[in-house]
Amino acid sequence: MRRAIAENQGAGVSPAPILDEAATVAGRTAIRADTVELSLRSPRIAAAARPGQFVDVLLPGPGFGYRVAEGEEAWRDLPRLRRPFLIRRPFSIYRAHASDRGADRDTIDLLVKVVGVGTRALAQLEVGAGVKVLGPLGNGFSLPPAGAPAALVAGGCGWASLAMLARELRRRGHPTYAFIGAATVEALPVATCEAKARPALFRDELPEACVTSDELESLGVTVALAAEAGGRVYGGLVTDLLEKFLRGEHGRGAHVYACGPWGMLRRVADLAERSGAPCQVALEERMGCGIGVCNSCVVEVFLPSGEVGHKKLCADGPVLDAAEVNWDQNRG
Amino acid sequence: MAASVDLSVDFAGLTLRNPLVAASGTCGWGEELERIEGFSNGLLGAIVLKSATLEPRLGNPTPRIVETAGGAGLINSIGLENPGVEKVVRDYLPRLADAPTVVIANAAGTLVDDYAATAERLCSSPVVRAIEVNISCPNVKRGGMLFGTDPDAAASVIAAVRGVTDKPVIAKLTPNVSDIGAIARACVSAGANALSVTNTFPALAIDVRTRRPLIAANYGGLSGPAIKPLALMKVHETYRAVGAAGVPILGGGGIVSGSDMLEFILAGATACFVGTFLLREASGCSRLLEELASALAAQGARGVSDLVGELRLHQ
Repeated sequence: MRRAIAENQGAGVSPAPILDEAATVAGRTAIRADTVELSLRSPRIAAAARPGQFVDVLLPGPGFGYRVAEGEEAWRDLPRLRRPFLIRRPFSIYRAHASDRGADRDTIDLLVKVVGVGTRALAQLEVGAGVKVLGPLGNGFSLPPAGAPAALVAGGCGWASLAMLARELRRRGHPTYAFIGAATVEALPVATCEAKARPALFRDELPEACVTSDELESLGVTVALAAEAGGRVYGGLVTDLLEKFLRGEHGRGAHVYACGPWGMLRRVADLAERSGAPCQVALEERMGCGIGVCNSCVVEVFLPSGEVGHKKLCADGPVLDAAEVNWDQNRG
Repeated sequence: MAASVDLSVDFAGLTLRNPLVAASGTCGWGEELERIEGFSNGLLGAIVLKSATLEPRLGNPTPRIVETAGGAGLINSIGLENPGVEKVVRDYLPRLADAPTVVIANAAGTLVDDYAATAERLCSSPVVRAIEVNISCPNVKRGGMLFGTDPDAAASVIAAVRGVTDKPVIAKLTPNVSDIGAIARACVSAGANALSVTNTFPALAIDVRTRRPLIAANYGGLSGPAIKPLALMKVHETYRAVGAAGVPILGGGGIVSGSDMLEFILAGATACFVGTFLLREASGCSRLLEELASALAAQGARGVSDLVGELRLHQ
């Protein structure tokens, strides 16, 4: 396969400034053993954020502007003096309340799943702690044409990059369906509850899915949950739900949006292509700068010329058209 | 007090407004960081663009980066991904025509002739004020660091580049040698006007669960505060080798404060580069310069040049 380098879309692709906002922790809620919902008071980023964008979060530390005040006993501050991590950690903007009536308009919410030292330090932050937030970053999702139905497919914490989109789609009146899957019911990223009245979709097409999410249904999002281990939800892969949906009447003309593990996304892209549904995927890769200078978070794409090239997920993504991704690339 | 300190430096014939320089590979093609609130190229003495090679390169597989050393280090293995020198010169450099700072290009290659051709093309642009020669990349199988570990090989690359441009030539050295002074002298004899010390240190991080390296290319280059004492030593060794001859050093490795910058200046650096720091907090560059001005003033210095190499060794 011929290979070429993609345009440097990181430079000047969006004229919007990137904010580096001093934020404080406004709330912290444990939603699972390894995941917290972190609410940050970051008014300017909350106002600017679009669905599918992300932020890069930094904990200020010693040697990075922290000074021991005169008379302050440094030894008492040892926990504060420990440098928790070096470069910023990226998180999808799970909610930005600037567009919500009644909520704290100045905050953004992040789902922080503990996977290493950086995420652990962030997940342990107390209310009132200070962080720096770089954002909003990335391109975000393109919205479907007016009235088109949308299917959102999430694997585990992949839901974090789709939740804000679900709200925006409902605000614009799109019929919105969310398919959320995980290995077990306990690992699902949303609080579950028994469905009171099943919408027609589930009676006719997905009779197995009988558990839902109050928060999402209150938005008017039709929800179907899946867990590979089974339980009170559909026992199997979340992509099975999408497959049935796209075959059925409700899935006609649907636009598909997905975020989750590579294998799941590859299957989603395949199903969407077969049914002719436009599909956008939010991808993940270990990231460095977040703004397109370090070339760490590249993925292989097919360029318009047909050659294979790279896109930087931080600056050219994280959202890509599923049709441009080379799904056969080696993912470590 | 700090206001009376003159931060400008003369570096190989270039006047830099201050000694703070963005390291190659951490400021992209000169435009990307400008989008960040609180950062401007105009804050810096110079920027060094990403390495360009004769032909386009896609670089190494992912993951290419991992944090390590208890939050003090960063290992990367990008593999010199770049769109090739033609595209850089045609499309990227013209956008920097009005850049409010000194623009330094960076050339890499596999063969001596590649280096010369790439450097010549880069230096054909009026935007480029000096050329840094990357003979120290730890993340490519051929060329790169191999040139920087042998005095004769290093000299052959520098002499070839010297032959194609009158602009200042800066040799970027690898720390992965037992006698960096010998490499430095060889580069200067071959026509280098300045030395950049150092590139990253070859490094490995391991996932004990899977028993696999955390970088897809297995090994990478370590940067960040973890390497500062090692880099200081390399700068000092280089200064002892060529400082008396008046060859300026662009020194760095793990700088995160103005005090760190002063340490590099005392060890022998005329200008200091930051790299990993820019990935962390590009908006903090003005703070670094304020801290440096205060630190210089506290030493009673009127300018940076008063303290270059003024380390007082124990007798």
